[in-house]
Amino acid sequence: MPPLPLRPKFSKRKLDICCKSFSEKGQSAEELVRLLKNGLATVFGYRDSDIILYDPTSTTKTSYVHHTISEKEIQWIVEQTKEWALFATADQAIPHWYIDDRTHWIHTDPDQLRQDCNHYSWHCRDQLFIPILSEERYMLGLVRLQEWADKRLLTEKKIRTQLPHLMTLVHKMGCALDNVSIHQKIELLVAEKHSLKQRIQQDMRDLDRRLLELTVLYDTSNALSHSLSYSQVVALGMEAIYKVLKFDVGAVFLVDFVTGGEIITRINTPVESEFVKKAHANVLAACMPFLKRKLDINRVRVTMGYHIRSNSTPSSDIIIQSFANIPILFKEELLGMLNMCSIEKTSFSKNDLTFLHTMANQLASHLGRLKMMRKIEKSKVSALLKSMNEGIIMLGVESTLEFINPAAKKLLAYEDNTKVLLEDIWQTFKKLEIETLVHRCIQDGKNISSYEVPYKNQILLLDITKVNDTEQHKIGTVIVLRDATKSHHTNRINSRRLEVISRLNMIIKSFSADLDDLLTVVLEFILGVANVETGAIQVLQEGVFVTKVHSNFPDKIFNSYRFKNGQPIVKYVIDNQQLVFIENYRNSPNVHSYSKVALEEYVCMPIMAKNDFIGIVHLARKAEDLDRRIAEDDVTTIATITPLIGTAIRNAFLYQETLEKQKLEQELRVANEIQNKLLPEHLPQLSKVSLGAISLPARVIGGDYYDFIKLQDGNLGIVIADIVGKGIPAGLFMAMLKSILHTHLVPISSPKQALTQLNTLLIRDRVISKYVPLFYGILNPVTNVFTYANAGHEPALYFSKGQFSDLDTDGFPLGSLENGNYEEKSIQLSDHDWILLFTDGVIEARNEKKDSFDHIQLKNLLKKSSQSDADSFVGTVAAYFKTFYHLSKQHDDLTMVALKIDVSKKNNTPLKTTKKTVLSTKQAVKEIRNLCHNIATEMGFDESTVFNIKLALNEAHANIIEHAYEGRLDEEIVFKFLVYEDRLDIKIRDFGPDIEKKTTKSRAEHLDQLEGSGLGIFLIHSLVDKVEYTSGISPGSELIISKKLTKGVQHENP
Amino acid sequence: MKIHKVICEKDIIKILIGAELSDDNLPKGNMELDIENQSQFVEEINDLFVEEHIRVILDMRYINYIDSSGLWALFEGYKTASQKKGKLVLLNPTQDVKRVLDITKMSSKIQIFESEEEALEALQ
Repeated sequence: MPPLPLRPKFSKRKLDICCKSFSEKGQSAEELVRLLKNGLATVFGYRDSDIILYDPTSTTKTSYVHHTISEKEIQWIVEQTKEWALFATADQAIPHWYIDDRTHWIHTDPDQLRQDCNHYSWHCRDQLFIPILSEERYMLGLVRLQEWADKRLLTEKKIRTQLPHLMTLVHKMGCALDNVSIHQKIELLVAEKHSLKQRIQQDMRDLDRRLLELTVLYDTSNALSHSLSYSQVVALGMEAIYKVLKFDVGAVFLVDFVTGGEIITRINTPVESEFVKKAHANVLAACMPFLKRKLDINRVRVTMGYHIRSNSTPSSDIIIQSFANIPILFKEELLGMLNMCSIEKTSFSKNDLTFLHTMANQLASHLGRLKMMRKIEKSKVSALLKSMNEGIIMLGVESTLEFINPAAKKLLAYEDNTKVLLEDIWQTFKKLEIETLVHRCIQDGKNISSYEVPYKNQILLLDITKVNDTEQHKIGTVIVLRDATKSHHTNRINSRRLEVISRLNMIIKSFSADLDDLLTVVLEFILGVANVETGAIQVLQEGVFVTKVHSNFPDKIFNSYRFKNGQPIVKYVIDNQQLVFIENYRNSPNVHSYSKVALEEYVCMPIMAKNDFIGIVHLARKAEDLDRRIAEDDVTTIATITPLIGTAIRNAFLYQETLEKQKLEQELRVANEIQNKLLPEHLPQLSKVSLGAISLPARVIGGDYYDFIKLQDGNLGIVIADIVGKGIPAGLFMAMLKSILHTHLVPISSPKQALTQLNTLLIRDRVISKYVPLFYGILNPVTNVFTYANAGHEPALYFSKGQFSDLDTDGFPLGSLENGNYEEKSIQLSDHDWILLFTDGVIEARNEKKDSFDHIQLKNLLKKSSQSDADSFVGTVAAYFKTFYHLSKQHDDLTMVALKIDVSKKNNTPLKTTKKTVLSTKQAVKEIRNLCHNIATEMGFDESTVFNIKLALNEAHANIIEHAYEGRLDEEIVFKFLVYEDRLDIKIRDFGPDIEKKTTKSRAEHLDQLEGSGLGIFLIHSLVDKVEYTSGISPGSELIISKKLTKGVQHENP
Repeated sequence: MKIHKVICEKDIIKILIGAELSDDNLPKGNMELDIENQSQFVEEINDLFVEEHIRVILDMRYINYIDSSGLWALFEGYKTASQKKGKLVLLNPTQDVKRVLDITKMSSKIQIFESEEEALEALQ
């Protein structure tokens, strides 16, 4: 038995070297295990160490075990360590477990132990476990120490001395191991990440490609299904392929779409033409085996579908690196070949080829569809052409005869069932002298339409049209033949008729004013059309047909042409409103042979204007004009233009009527103006008397007259008269009367004297032979005595203290008797007494509802209004009559002068009153504003106040137009400007329904609250001093706005 | 009523209104903006807004009279411009018109300027 090796003496230096070696040399777990084992052996002399390493992130363990150890033992250590780690504090020493007798330890496998004992012929019963922990105290493994080989026991005592160093060694190893495993993990992770990245990139590339393919396929198949031309289909297909594959040159050969085949090329990279030729040769070569016939390469049409433009000249050493040929097959028929060339790629990938096949299939199905459509169309077209009435000849590209339909054969007089050859057709064209023309058209491709050629008693119309396919390639020429013999004739007549109509139209336009002039020219024109010299035009005037113009054909002659039964032909035409055309008059069996002048032909036709029979045209050819004939076509032509003549005649009549009406209206307007100017413009202003006057003329101007005359003695003369007669004569007479009154009455202070003198004047004047009923009163404004005399006029009405009486004297109307014997009476008027002077129109008024207005109504009206002033009363009367005559015609003038004694009126007398009545139009607003401007300025208001008054008035006016009359334009508004010493009052009177209260009250103070008329009302209230509103004045309302006149310093308004 | 529109700066538009056109085609002559012609005025202004000109200077120098319809026309124009995130300002109103704008408190809403530069600045 060899001696036991000596246990080495512990050396701190050795331990340090060992510990250091872990971090210096420990590149891997194996290395660390080896270093630990080495350390245990060299520093401590333990040669039998077993080490198990755990990977803390997984469940794998690596055993460096040379002696038996049971799973249970390991398990126990692991659990113990974990338990320790759970509760250990950071500075607590790493534990170890010393088992002194394994034979009695429950975790030991006795069989295993026995095995070892047998092997070493030694019974080693104790063991020491030290866990290998990381710095964070994760369990990385464990170390077991035994001394089998040295056949020694560890013994607890011995261990205790070594333990701290032992633990240090194991601990250092643990830390190194931890580092190594972390490094390894990191490296592993980096490597994994890298490979993952590569895989993702590849996947992305594949996906992108797939997505592109699918998108392109989807887009393209949509576009393809809408496309109707094969070149478009091919272009779309190539574009799609280019998007996915980026080929350099692509060519598609199509076998059958064009005679001889066609190659469509797409060039994406600039290359020499040789390169393209090679590509073409490629595709053709690829096709050859599939075709049943031989390809004539020279006849293949070459089309550049797409050509990249480049400034640089292509390099000549570019060669085809790779190419792919894919056949385009549709129902086992080769439609063409797809050829893709690449300069860059050495080969097309599997993906590329799959996509090319897919595209080839797409192209195939759409090209196939187009091909079938073409076939169907062709058969449809030929069926259609056969059945057409027009003759059709179709020539092919090289002037081969492709088609001639039966109609064409018939027109060109070929036998129906013989075969027509090209030469025959050219022969015919030669006969028609259009051979060169047709040749030229076919060559130039210029179209010809409606070329007329006479051929065998017929007129042929020739259309030559080139025919292109959908790709604008010429595929032939079509010649269309039509028989225009009939339409030629109708056209000639129609065009003549149109010409006649347009000429007549011109004549009518230039002669519309005078009927006789017009008819003279029209007759001449019609004679020209019919080519005869005899004729007449009759026009219906007041129920009788009057011969207006004639040419050798007065009515006494044409009335002598009669039917056999004796009825004049013209009478028949009048009764039946039918045209009569007698050809060959002398031999006609229907007519009476006796006549003043022998006729060959006679036309008698009615002239109609819309549905009214308004005239007759006579046309006749005398027997001596043998070489002429009235053609039936010409009669029809004239019949078609008679309505034009009818309209012209009617227009001429209307024109004359309008002229007369205008003359009448003009006269009325003048008379009206005269009358208005003759009546006084202002009412006289008296301090204790209020006055009012109205004159409402009937529509036909009348002779009512009233006036105020300021007499020499300071009294006021009041006249009312009713001149017999209407219109301008009455107006003129009134003017004369006015001047006589004003010249003669001023110095006369007695009404009786005044009337006597007037009577004498009128009797003596021979020019005036009129009677004038006239009432004349003189008021002494100081004493209020009213003296009056009546010359046959309506008596005045006196109203005092609730009682009415007439003021009347005897006397005839002025100008009727040499000695009028006029009387005069006087009456003392008291406060609130009324006198009304009025013409008989006022008390004899009738409207269409048969309502009447008489003394009683007048009296009632006055009773009701007796508290108002005279001016307001006449306003009420005017309003009353306005309602009374609503929609009825006023048949007599209504004139009234009212006088009221009003002692308390004193301060309330306007210096001047201006009245203006306007219609409710927006235009009148400006007119009234200007009037207001003049009045206010004249009164001495300063500029900005004038502006304010104008604006307030303007707003009130607009309010009435918009609210009272709701925009109706034909209602009246009456403005009265009352000029006082110290203020201006403006009364605005309307006759509409009441304006709602709210529109006339100023409530809103803020801009946002002012809606609609609110702003206007707000302005009125802001701009003038006083606003007074009276509503319910049967009908209508009155608004009075008032502005004080401050003399001296003028204040600016806020 | 004659209306002249001119684009000043960017999209600011200036409108000058007068009674008639002078020889150089610019409006001149005093005019009255009232019930009679306000609808024509409103149409012209609305045309501007339809064309998306929403920054407007209204030169009032020739308007020597204005009534409530005219005022409403201005106010409507101002409101529409504001709704469209634009602005309408008045330039150089006559003394009387300015007074009415004050009375109706319209001048507290619509900005009024006496020089074009100020107006332009306000519209920037």
